[in-house]
Amino acid sequence: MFAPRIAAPLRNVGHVQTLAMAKTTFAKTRVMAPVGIRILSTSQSSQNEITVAPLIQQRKNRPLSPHLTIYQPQLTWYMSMFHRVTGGAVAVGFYAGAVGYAVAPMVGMGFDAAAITSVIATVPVGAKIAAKFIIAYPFTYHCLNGIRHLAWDTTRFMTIKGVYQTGYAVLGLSTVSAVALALI
Amino acid sequence: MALRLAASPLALSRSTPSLRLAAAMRSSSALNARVYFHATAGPVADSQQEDHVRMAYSRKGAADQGFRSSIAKNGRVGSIRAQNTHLSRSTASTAGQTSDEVTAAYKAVAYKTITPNQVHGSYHWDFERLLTVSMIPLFAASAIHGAHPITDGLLGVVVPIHCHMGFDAMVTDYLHPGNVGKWGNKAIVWTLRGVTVLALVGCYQFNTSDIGLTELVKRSWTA
Repeated sequence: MFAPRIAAPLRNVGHVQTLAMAKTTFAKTRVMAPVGIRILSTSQSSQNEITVAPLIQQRKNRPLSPHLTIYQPQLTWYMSMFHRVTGGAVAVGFYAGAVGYAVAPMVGMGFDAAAITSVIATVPVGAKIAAKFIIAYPFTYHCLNGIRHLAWDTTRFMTIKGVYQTGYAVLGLSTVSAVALALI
Repeated sequence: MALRLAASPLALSRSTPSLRLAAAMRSSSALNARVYFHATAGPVADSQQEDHVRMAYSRKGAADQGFRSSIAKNGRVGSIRAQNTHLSRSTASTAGQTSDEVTAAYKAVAYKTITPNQVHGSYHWDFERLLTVSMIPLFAASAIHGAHPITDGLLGVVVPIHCHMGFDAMVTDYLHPGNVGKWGNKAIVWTLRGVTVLALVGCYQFNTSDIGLTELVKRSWTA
């Protein structure tokens, strides 16, 4: 669309503009175009606004093709998703506890080990076992699947058979150990 | 095949280091070399230009290697834009911009070339795996032996960092600049760093002025 000489100032457009490069853009605008050719005076950002910004806006309005909803359920990506979800859940719980302990004195809340254990002691036994299973299962699943990931990083079990065998092993072991932990 | 467009002759007189480099490249039989020049206005711009020219050049054999090794180094492929456009050898005698650069004005702003850095690439990966591996004996020791200042202290450092790296990966995947904007992403990343620092402080305080992480789990689990 732009003739090469006139487009000379746009030479830097695709890259991160540092201050020095911005200065050279100005210098080039004055220096490189030979006499007799009109020098473009529009800046880079307004070029982008004119040409690119409407495209970005339109992309936000377009719908997304179905992906997770239509892909065949498979152990591979279900377990991978569950690994991330359980990791996030346990981490949120851990962060809540740690940050809560750090911040509680400022807010005036009494939040220490003694308070926590005394609150837990008042909960009925059945609810305690259920809660312990709900807390333990993401933790054991994430730990065991994490070991499976580390095994992959040493290039072990990198076959369909290996992935599925280790996958079922993780599912079984994590359930059994979570039940065992809940009954302690 | 990208068009080679003639540059102003004034461009060629400016930058000696890159000119020598480009001349060396041109004289070799580099099919995939992408030759393009900037005029420079001083020594500062020269060094930046060197860097930029280095990025742009990819020799024939090195083209594939460079891309693959930069993937291996950088882990996440999305952060690198491949520079392997191949040009006609006959027009290698003139330096200038390609039509790709002219149409670069139409590309989304989020596209940015980044120099690969192993700190964000393979070193980050190594560090993450080492940390994760260290958690296995740490949890085992804590479960078997019970409370101990050293294991509790290490847990209070290793677990928050592991959580931070996991959250960081999730932010990179789901809350990237293309989604939430450049400043939204920055805000989220820095908020995450602040919260991780708070978590580290909280763990340290709990380990020193309270019963410690292992003992807390033991007591609350059997409460």
